[in-house]
Amino acid sequence: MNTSNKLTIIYFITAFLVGIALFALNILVGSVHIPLREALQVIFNKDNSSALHVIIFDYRFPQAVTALLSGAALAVAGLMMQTLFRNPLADPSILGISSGAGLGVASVILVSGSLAVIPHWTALTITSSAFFGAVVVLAVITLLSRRLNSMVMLIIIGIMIAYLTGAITDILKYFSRKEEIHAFVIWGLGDFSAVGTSNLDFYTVTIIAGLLCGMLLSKTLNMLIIGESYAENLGLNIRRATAFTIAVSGFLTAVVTAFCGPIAFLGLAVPHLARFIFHSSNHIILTPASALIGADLALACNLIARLPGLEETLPINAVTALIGAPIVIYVIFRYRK
Amino acid sequence: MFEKILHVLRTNISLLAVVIFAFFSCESGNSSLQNNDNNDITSSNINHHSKYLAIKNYKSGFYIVIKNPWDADKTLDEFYVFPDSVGIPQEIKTKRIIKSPVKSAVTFSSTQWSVFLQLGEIERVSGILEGQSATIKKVKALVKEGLIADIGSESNFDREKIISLKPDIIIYTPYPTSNCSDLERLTDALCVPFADYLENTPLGRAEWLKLIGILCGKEKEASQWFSDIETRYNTLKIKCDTVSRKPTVFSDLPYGNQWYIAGGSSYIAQFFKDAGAEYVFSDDHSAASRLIDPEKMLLRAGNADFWRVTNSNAFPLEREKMAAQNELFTHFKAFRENNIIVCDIIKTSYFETAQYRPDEILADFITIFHPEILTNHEPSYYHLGLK
Repeated sequence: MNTSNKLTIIYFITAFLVGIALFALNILVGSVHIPLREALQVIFNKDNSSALHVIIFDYRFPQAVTALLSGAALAVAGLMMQTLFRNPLADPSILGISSGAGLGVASVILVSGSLAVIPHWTALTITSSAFFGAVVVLAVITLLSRRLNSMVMLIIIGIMIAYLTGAITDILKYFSRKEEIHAFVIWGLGDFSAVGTSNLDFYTVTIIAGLLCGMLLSKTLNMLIIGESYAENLGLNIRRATAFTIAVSGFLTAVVTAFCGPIAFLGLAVPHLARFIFHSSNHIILTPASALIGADLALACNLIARLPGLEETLPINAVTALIGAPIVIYVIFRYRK
Repeated sequence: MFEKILHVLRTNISLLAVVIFAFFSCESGNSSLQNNDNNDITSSNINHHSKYLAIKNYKSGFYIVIKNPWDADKTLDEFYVFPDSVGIPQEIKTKRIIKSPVKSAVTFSSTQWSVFLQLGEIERVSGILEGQSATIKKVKALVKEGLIADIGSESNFDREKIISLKPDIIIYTPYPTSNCSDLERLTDALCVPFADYLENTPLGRAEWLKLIGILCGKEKEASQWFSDIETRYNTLKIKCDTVSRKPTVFSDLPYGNQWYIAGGSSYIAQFFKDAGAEYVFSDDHSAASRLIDPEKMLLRAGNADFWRVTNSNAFPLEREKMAAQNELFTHFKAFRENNIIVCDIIKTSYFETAQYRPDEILADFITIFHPEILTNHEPSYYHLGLK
């Protein structure tokens, strides 16, 4: 085993251990101070009626799992987009999928709220509408990707779709009541606690399935990164590969956005971190590396958002941006060199 | 002898009050009272509960000051209201003056036009915001017939329509960044800030009806109306002063993960206190609402006896749907025992009428918290338990 391989394994183990530590901290630390001994008692005690038990098992645990899975999913989706478009600033939202989800949610909260068509915005209604909006945009983009040869054209169409859905959302917001706008704004701030215990199984299964598909596409991504003509010479069907990559990346983004709202920056920043740490452009390494670092970063952001001593939870989207923005700035400077 | 002493004391206190008032009036840089004959303005306010409203008698009219809720040293507006039949005193002719009763008023909130309605003066209202959302049939019909113009929503009101209505006054809801001066420039109307929503006591909020009463030329009726509210409210409140056990209560639903709680000195907290209940955040001395993490909420309110929520949908709130919205709810004792106090905003015309029926709201709460005190009360706004 050469030094580079050894280092890669060490980095993987380190990222994994950091993930475990951050996960444990997510369970043990929150706005309600629970001393370690008491927390351990609650975790290993079968009495599930106490408020502390509910806080740890029904609130913190599903939130930590959601953060972990969402971070991994967005990071892998971002990596796929950056590779596909050969653009270091591409991220899962670049094709307008997050905006599509936003429009779906806006249609439910703003339109049906005003007309009182739906009795109450249940979590399921919001999730379904976000997923529907995201999938519609994803379907349009996937279809177009099979017709268009140019990645630049595709990226422009993605950005245009984002503008279009954003504009419709703005119009809906403009004509809505304060309460509805507020509910929509809150959704837009992102929330890892939105999955909860009842949807956690479904969320886990769908994200893991998406991540496995992402892993299976690693070889395809390796071929795409060397250039389309080379990839074609190696026997890759570019249009089909593009459509698959967009579908998997879009699916991961759609599921995360549907449940947690649009989470910014993780998808953009993590692939760069993975490349920087692992010094590799091999997607067989980069995909799991991005998933691990994405999970770690999301757990860290979730921890910062619920800093002990604070009675409020900071919006997760703001925290991810606070961490993501310096990374993007770093990338810009790095590429300038 | 004793009566004489009392009389002297009263006279001196009144004099002292006048002197203090005159002193502070002269101190205030932006007060228009500097050039007035201070003796014509009564030293005490006509109103007693509203923090941001000061109504004083001035000759045969009224001198109104709307205090700035965000800067205690400043006023938001000050103006005079004089009956149309009476001449305007020379010394205030250059001041902001409204002639009562106003002929055409544009209102920005249902808490404003509802006073016109209840005083039988709704025909003086020419335009309202969100007219389509009005839940009172009479007003809805007037909007439909075009007798009251729907001037749009608060974030998107139709300036051209307001100009076409030629209002005498525009009663608006002030915010720290709001400014009505552009509307004053475009119309001949005088803008009246109505800061009722910032009052943190039920009687303080209700007392703003006196201002509309004055603008309608029905100050006596408005005053009597408020006096009836005040008397009943205080009578009910006294009944709860001696309760032996105070049930605990918390309020409001979260938006996703964001749980806003009303401050311990807020409007709703005052209701809970007056109805003989213990608000779980009574140790918070703020009147404003603030965010709280759900796990903190669970710790503080998980064992509370009651949970007060409002439902702004046309459909009734259901426990099953609430649990589907947020499974954390099921860990609250009040939710499990269905001790949820709910107000259906649309069904009860809450936004239009509740502000001026604090006595009725208090009676609703007392019936829930202490059913032994009020046995025959039929709830108007709040009922206990969900489907």
